[in-house]
Amino acid sequence: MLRFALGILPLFAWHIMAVPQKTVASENAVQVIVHPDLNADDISIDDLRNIFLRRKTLWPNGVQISPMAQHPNSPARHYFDKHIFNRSPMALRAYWNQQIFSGRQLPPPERLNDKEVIDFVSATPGAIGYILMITDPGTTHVVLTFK
Amino acid sequence: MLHHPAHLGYALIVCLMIFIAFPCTARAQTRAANHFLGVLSPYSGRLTLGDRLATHGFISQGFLWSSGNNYLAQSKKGSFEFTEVGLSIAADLGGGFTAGIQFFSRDLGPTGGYTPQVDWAYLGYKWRDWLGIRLGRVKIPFGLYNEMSDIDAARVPILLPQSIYQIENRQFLLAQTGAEISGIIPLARAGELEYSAYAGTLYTDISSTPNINSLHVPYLAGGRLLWRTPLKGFTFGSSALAGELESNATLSQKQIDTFAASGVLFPSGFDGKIENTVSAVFVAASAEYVRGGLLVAAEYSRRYIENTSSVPATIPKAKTTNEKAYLMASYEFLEWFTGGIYYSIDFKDIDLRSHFDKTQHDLAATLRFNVGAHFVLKIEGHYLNGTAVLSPALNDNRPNSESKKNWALLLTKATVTF
Repeated sequence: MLRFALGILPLFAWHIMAVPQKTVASENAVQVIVHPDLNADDISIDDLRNIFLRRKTLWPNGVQISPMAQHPNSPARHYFDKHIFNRSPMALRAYWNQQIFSGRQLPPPERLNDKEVIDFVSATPGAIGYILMITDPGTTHVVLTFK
Repeated sequence: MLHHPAHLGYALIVCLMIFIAFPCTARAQTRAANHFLGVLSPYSGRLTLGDRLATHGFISQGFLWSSGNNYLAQSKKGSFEFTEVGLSIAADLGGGFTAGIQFFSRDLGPTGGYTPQVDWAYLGYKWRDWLGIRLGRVKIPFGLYNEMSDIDAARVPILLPQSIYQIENRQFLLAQTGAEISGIIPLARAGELEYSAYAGTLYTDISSTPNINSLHVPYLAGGRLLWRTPLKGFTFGSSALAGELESNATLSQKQIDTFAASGVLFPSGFDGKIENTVSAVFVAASAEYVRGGLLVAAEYSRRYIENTSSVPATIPKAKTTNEKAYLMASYEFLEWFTGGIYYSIDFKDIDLRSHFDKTQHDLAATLRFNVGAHFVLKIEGHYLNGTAVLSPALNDNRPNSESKKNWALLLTKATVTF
């Protein structure tokens, strides 16, 4: 037992270094962006929910969907989760804990801010992400906005 | 005070939990760590390698206290023998392929003993959203919550309703080794169907089971169908599982003498060896409603068990039907506080419903506190009527019919996830 606990200690040390600074939720709205080559103008809220819960994994043209989330403490994430999932952050964490530790799914990877999401989405075929409305989406394609 | 290895283990777990749960949040540290580790991007406390490999884990430490009877551990005098540790590694291999493994270790009264074991390990391929396959050791989808029965952070109660999710059955009902197909089928305006079907076997550690020489599961097969209705939040489901378990045991001379003294007539030349076969079919019907912070769930299950043995004098041929059900509700009052309650009934033999040693009524209430994103504290009280879930071995080998009919159980648990 002691050896096992000591063996995983470095992972916890890493966790401690990794906890980010908490940010304040914003009133800003969010826009959903996809890779410029994707034609996803008819995407629905249900589709978005299923994509970010990893229940829908392929675009209609067969390309793998690569959802990119933002950090849990980011204003865009707060806004997105509240409007898409209609579940509290605690309920969402419980959902992902269930998926992760039962070996079903991993949550979408995360980026720290809008710029990193735009960089990922514009460079990855099949990618989808969300950013604040006030941010310039660059070369990505905006398919949905929430106000 | 900490001379006993178990005490040292508890102290270490508590230190680790404090260490993880109350971290220093300096941005400079995060940046320094990112810089130092290069490819790692642990924005939310997860250890990730790029976007394709992630490591997660949990540690739980609980405490049990009961009145009247010992349950799961020596709980009448209070027991900390209620510890779980898990570490999972999962990878998205690209092209629809995934792989993962989870190591799990626990101590629960006389079981577990912190022996690390592989909880699940699989290679998966998703061809379409409606068809995927996983090969390896895969958790068994049964009822609404079997797959999360040892994931404390994923639910409100410390103990899921024990009629259907009996914690002691973990090694038999948690995971099977074989193949599973699963998928989600959209039904347009009728909602969607989520299905899974599996077939395989069980590999069970019998090293701590005296007398048992071998345990073999020729087959285990089953499936689950969940219908997510167009009525937002409503899910209905049904599950079925069938399997056979063959065991080979040897009675000691002392046990043979004890049986003989009680009038059991053994066949001539009996050498103590007994072959036993258990055939079982489990079915369950489930309903769940989730809306905002409210969750209401109800399940009903029957288990048909047939037992045959080479020496009926010791283990008589028998067919029994178990009946199990519960109704559970929880509500998230605040982001950091959720309350839950359930009532669970368990009849070990539907022909003996009036026998309190074959029956268990369980009324439970839980308070869950989320202390930050990765630390959960819970306290739970149970009022129990009946003794069907008790282990005589924990109660001075007293038959359950001689145990206290009405008793109470109090549990606390702290869980850290990362």
